[in-house]
Amino acid sequence: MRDVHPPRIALTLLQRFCAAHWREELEGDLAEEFEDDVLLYGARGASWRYWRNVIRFMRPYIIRQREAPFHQAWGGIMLRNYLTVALRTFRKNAGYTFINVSGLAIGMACCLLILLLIRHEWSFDAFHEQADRIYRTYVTSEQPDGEQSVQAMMTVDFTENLLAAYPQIETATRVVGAGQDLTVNNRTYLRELMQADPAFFEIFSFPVLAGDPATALAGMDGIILTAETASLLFPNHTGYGDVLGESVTIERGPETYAFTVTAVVADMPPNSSLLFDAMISFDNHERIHLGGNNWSGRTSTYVLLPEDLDASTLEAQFSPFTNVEFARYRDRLLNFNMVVDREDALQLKLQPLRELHLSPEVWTPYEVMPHNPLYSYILGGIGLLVLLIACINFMTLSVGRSTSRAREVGMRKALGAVRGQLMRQFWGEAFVLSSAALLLGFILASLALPGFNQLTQQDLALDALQGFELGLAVIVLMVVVGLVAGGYPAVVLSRFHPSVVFRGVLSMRSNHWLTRSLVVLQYTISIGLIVSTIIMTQQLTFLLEKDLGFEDDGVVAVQTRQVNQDAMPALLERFRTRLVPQEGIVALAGAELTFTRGSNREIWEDASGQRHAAYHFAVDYNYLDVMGIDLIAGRFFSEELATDRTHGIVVNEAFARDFGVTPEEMVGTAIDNWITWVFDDTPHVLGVVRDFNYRSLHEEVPPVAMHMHPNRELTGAMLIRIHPENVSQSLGLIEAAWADLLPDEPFNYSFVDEDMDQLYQTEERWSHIVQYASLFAIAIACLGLLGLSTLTVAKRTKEIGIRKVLGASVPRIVSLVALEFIKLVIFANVLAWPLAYWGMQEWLTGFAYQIGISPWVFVGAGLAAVLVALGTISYQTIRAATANPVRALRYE
Amino acid sequence: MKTKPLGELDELVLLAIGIVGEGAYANSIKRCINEQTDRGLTLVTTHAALHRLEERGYVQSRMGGATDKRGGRRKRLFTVTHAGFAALERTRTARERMWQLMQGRRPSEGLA
Repeated sequence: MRDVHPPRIALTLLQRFCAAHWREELEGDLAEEFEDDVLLYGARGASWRYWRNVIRFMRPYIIRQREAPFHQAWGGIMLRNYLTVALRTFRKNAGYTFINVSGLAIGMACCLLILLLIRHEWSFDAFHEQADRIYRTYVTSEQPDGEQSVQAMMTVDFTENLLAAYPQIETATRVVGAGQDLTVNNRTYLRELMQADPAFFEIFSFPVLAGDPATALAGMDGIILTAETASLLFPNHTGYGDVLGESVTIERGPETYAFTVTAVVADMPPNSSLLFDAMISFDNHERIHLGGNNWSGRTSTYVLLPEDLDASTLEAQFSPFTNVEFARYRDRLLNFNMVVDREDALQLKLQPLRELHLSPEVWTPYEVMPHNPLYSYILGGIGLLVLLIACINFMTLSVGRSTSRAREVGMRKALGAVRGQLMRQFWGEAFVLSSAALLLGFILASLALPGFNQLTQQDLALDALQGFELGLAVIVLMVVVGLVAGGYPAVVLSRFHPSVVFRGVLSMRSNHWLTRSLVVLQYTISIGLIVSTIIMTQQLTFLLEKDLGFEDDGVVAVQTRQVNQDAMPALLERFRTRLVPQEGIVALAGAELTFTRGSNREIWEDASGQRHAAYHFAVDYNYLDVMGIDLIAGRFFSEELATDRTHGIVVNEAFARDFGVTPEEMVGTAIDNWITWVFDDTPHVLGVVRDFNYRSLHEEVPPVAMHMHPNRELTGAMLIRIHPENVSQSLGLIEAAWADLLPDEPFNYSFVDEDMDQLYQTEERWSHIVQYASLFAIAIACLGLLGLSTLTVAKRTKEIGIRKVLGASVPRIVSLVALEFIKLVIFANVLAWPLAYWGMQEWLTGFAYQIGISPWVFVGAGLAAVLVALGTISYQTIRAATANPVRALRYE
Repeated sequence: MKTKPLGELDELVLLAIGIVGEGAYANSIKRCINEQTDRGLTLVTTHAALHRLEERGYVQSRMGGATDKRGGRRKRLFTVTHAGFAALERTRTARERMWQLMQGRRPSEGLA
């Protein structure tokens, strides 16, 4: 009898459309019919009739699926079983479970910390009740080169004029602040003092502990303290109410002003842009001058808009007012060619309070340093990346462990479990692990918090997580991680067919392409981060150690800006005669500024119509000696020639390049049209110095000119070169001299090289962050590799046993097993190198002075990764290679 | 007694189950009917009728009896329930009564 079958396609069709519960009997009935038909009609006839039958069976009652029986996967008895099995599984594989959970926990801890930071930065000033209606005024001016310049400092009269011109604005306040000594009972404390209008407390919500802030600033003599300051100044008082009426004095130069405490407010929350310890009325601004000056003004101004007034509507109406109010500012800008000559070149704008902290471009010295949102994004990215790696780990390990649970799956299915139930079981396990990881992650995060705070210079606390959004985010994190990390194994494990499982065929191999690519991904990320760390550290070291073209170490800069400028030249002489002969002091000079404080920049057109830009500042005769700058053409200022002072400038190489001449040719050139507010007549170039980096190495050396400001005294700093040995002694001498010569002025000094290093603070921070991130990444990647190798080795015990029996040596087996993983790591290198290279190149373009990226960095990182991987799997592979083959082959 | 009357096919199926007896399933029922009548019943129709009858409670089924011929698949075996038998009897009784009322008249004798 020929082996005739019903037509396969027809059968498949039937299986497709037929509901599950009919399938067996229909297939059977049709098969029988077919057999009979073959005898009656032959094979072809039977097939045709089969087809007819199948088609005819396409009826609704056949196709309609019966409702699935209600699965009690989440309730009652099954849950207990799942729980028991889950706990048993965890305990049996305690090692893997621990690896899994700790990997996830590390990832979560990372995320938690970064979440804290981001939340902190983005939550600034939100606590004010009227935060949505508070704005800060600023003015933009369009420069001739098309760029916008932003100024947030307003004049003292601005507020009054603004309120008069736009009565629809509810109220406004001026704010300035600076550090200031407060004296109580002959004890002096340095505190942050602010000056503001009484409207300040109408606008901002700072809780009051005692007194009435509305009236507290009404008079000139009232002072408001924060709780902390009140405790500091008056330690013996019991309640805040007691402090009211006490007296605080402020000394400015020869004058002493007495203030009475009129209110006490709560301490500033950490996320406030405005920080103050004490506040007095702005009416004091003339007798007590706080803060700096800009051309546009000297105070920060905040306004409160009524609820129905939209900021942009108001902004659109500002033009006429702007033209009048800022006329003087505009004229000054025009004078120095810093603004286009157009009607709307200057615009008054309103900055929402919530955006204050996230807009580094619009800033006054009276508020907390804003945060560049870019950092949040990058940090967030890193956090997610680390978490991703941890999740990938989890998936890899769970899937790798699947074979040991294959029998369980087979049993359950044979006993009637539906795939959905199994998926829910495994997902549930993943959630349990995920919550355990979250708990552990919390603990890890709180342990790491002090270190993290130091790294980021913040003062974050985990209890900030009580906030609704953050608690929600945390739960979402746990759910998402559970879903994602548990999803893959849940789906894969539940797919097992009981028959396949019990016949002993393992459908999940650890060599599966998916698990391999996951390991590769982890290592790619880790290697990328390692390379980045190395390059960033290299660049940073380069920045900190680069020869800046002047002798930056051993120079002390003492602030003299606040000293009576006319008296400075004489004072400098006295300092010089007193200090220079002393042991340890080499030279002394005065200058308009120290390098890190910025300087003036001029854009001007020369007689031939060509445009130039240059920075300039005032120096004195000893400047070159103190700063150790090389003169390469011409000469420096000389005391003997009076015209040096009135007409002389000394420029740098970049300046000469800008003019298109050699340094030698530059000497003697007349520079006309330039800083006409400094020189009455056209200045001449006396000499050219070598380029020196007095600005951050982010930029190329700009053209610089030094002059001696003939019209006024401008000595912002006294620069003293001291011997590298015995620094403290030299400092002591300087301080003593200061105490003698300027007893009433505060003595503020710093080291120029330290100041310069400060410029790269941000880079340093980022370097550290990437360092830690790469540590995390590689730790997690190693955990993943560890787990994976254990499983692989366990799976291959038979193979290894057979190899040993056939004569393979231990090293051979080790290399065999290890090689597989090393291949993955090498591949990860191949992927990581171009990515890291591209990323770092981008970062380096932010610096005018960059290091070259050396190929050795990549090789080194790759080698490190391989070594680490080897170390991770060494224990397992060696153990496997030295195992007794009898044991391995015993069970067949 | 307003139950829906038994359809002609349904009646045949029930009878066939009774004839086949033990192990009555779709194919055997169909074969039996085709042997006894000229209907040329197809498997599909039989199956539909059996399904209908079960829905009404006139037959009940159980799975069993796998053979190699069917590739190891089980059959659905049917038995007539009491309700089914009662329905059959009602039908037969009504038929017989009507035949009797016809009083043996034939077509050639001018049946109206």
